Amino acid sequence: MEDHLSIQEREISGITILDISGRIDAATSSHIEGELGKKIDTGVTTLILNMKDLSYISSSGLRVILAALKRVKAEEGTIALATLQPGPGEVFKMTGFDRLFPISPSVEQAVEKLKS
Amino acid sequence: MAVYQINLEDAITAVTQLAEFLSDIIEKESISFEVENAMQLSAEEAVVNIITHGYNGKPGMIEVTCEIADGFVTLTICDEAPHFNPLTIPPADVDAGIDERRIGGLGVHLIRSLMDKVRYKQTDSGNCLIMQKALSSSLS
Repeated sequence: MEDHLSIQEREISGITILDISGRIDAATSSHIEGELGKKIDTGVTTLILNMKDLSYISSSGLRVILAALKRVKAEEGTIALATLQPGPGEVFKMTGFDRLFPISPSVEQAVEKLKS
Repeated sequence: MAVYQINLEDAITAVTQLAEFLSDIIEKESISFEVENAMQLSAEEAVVNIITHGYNGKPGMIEVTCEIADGFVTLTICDEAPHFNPLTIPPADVDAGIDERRIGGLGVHLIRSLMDKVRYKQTDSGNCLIMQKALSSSLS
């Protein structure tokens, strides 16, 4: 259901940023799964997911980003999260996912962290 | 007291229909963001479990009722799937590291974490999950 989720891509300092907006639920998770899969298939192993406009994520979304994290970790890469909003932030905390991903309050700070 | 109901029959559109159904109620009843997030997540997790495990991806009816009364919201989600109590699923290990991490059980874990009371009821034709949350934190 692509009208509930949109993903834009850009780069800062050579790092791929995916700007995610909308909801990641069981209906839209295959969309982000596809986008993440495509990027990782092309050899991108370091990604920042900008969640400033992500209003909602359910366990279907967590499954997809965990699978992506495992793939990039196998290549010594990482997926960092930036600007988590309260709803998704609560879900990450309740499920312990906040301990699996580096999380920054902004994309710029996420970039700095990855560069250091 | 207000009671809203929807029957979900198409697995492909169920999650989106459910989200829109609850959004309308949330707006009409001026429900807080915290309760809104709990309602949307719990309902989705319950419905997805029914579609995936109860009906194994095959078509099946899911009846969702949302009752607002006495400062509480109660979501009742019923199906016609083989009898199974999802509350008996072992809790997810939220402390596991990335290599040990499994997604199984996260849906039920979220439901239990977000709602104040959750109970299962077996019916003649299937199962019901009844989830309740106080509309204001002073009542929970």
